[in-house]
Amino acid sequence: MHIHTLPVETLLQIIGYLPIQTICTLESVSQTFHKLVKRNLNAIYQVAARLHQFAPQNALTCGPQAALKAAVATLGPNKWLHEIRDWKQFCKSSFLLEQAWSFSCRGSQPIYRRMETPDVYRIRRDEDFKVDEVEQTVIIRRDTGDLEVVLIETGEQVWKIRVAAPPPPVQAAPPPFLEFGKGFLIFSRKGSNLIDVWRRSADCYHPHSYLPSRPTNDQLARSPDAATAFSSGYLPIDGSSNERTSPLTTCTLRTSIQLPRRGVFLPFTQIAYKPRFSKYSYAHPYLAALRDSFPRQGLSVVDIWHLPTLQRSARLCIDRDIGPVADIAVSLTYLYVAASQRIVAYKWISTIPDESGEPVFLPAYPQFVLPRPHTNQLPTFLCERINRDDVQGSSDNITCPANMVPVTSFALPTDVQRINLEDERNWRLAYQFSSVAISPDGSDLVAIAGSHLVVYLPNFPNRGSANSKPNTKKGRIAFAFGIGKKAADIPKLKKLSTVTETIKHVAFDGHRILLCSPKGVFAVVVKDRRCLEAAHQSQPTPLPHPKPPFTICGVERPHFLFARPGTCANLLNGSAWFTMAYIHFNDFGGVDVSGGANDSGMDEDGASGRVSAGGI
Amino acid sequence: MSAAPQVTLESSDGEKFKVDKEVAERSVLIKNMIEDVGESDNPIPLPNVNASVLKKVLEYCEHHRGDPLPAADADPSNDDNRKRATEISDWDQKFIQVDQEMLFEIILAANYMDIKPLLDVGCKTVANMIKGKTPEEIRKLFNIVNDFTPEEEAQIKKENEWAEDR
Repeated sequence: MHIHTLPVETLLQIIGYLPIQTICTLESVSQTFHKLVKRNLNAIYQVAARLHQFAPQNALTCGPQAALKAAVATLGPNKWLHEIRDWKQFCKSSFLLEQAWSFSCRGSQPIYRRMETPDVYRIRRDEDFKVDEVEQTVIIRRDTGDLEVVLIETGEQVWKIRVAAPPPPVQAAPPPFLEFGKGFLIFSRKGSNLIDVWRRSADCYHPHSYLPSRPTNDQLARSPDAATAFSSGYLPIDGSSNERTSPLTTCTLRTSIQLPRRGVFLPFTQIAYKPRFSKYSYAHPYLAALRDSFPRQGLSVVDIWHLPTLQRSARLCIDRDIGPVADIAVSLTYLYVAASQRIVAYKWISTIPDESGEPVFLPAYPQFVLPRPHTNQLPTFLCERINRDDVQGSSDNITCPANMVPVTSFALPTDVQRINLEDERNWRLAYQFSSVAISPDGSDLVAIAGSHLVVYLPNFPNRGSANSKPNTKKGRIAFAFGIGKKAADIPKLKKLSTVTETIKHVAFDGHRILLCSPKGVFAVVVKDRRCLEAAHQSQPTPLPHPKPPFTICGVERPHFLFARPGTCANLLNGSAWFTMAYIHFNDFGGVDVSGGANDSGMDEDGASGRVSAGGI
Repeated sequence: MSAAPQVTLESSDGEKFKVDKEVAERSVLIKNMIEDVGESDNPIPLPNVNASVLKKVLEYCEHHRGDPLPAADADPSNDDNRKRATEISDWDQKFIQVDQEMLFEIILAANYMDIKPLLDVGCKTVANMIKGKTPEEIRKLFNIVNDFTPEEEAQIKKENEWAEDR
């Protein structure tokens, strides 16, 4: 009696109890087994996917057509399983993903809970979306450059900007971006050197026109002079010029009024950059735009615009020894600049007068007239080693150093924080920083370097080990995760293509980190620090606006959400939004993974225990 | 009070076994046969099962006579699949500790006589034997001849490299 003589269905049943590794081994045992597995590939690996819990238990896509149909009908949010054609491939990617994340963080429980919400919107690769919580809409930037606003509950499209004639292509134009926050929508179009700023129409009719919440009808009715809304025309700015005045002081006001429709935006301004900009970042009310570096000089320029007044608050020249700038992130307290191997944080010098954290230049508007900003209240930056000789160049935009940067805006470095990757273990040097994201209060930072996520906590206690020299610098990298292989397997890691493993997008709200990579979508939760605070008396730097009554001390294990490519992530108070690929169509759908907005969401008071207890 | 109704089973080599009807009906095959033929004193022939195996199978049925019958249309995907492979009860484990020849015979008999729980136990046992072994170990275990050319073997190995234990 030989194992090969057992009936096929019995052998298949035996294989059904085997883990994926053993199935792969079995294929190379004998021709009989090889053929058996090959002939029943999808059935076998589908069972294995369930055994490993890569796929839900009710997934059943192999079998007679009728059973298949019934199964698909019951799949609900897991309809994507129906579209999997190659289950071995699916198992492979899921398996590798699980392996990659498990090295530093075994044993923790999953933190993110998947909401049983069906896929909502089809989003393709290279497309981007933001979620407007106030108006309950999703803003999608299409690949074509069109913008769409759709209602969350119905998916109905309420508003759309079409790209008229494509603008004359700019040489090596930046990829399009989309930013949204507190009523301003900032986007750029493919192949264009213009940054478009639009604002939510509902806000235009409200006296405090950029308050965070949508005005109620009541408030609108009580608004003293609703007829004086902003003109719907553009108020263009030339971002390359060195003028600091605001075109808003001369704007005309609209006389007719329509009640604001949900999700509609009106043009606000357009910022032009020559030759082009490469990145921008928005944290209400500031928009930081990175002018492209001039390779010959290795010089990059960051402009900080105060959007409500359209004033440029500061212009910052990034020193050439930092290297080409990959990304910037702005907040009310810090500006982070990620260069190839280093991240430099610049801090506002002046404290923002309004303690409540509201925008500085909150206009007082019975008449809807924007006041001229008080120049002495403009925040300025500490800039490291600004030497006027360094910013001279031959480009037409940098011919006149006297106009470049008001030298008085910059002081010698006193509080510049620097993260130098060279201090860290060598293996991280294989990568360059490509992207940064910061918490709303601006003090905590996550950065992406290739396939690694680096979490930087300025006040994290230094756990210097015996063989590392004492770190005198304030702040350090607290955690670094790789989605490659184990840290010990670095030679292998280099072998893998970095293109396929690079983290594409990161979202960070101070508590939660959401990563999108071609390998899958991951969630990381940052833990409460209060428990450690007794041990380490290091007090956080006082911030000019209220900081949540907790600081972070560590990072939960990354919990992998889906073993499918993701491109774009958004974190809101109560939910996380991200794209994930449909295996078959190579499309992306935005999926809401959380409970109701306030149900399991993170409370403002920082009850982060609930985060680790379960659910975002 | 008459004793519980009994049936007679006849193995392939002619040996007769008299067992309680309840015990014999653990086998769906026999249950259906009894239903089709009706009560009779004629022995039920089992031409695919020899005496030693049938004895072993009946031992299993005797021990599990009181178990609830698995629903015929039970959805196997509802099981907790992760646990399925290790979930063999102590008695079953002892019961199935037989040589390989006998193990395969039991699996075949369970398959023929349609005793699903016994088939499951057998398959799980084989799976546990295979689990975590290298191809060479599996070949040795089941006395399988490696009929691949070296090129073929290398090719398959390369395809499945990702699943190797690291």
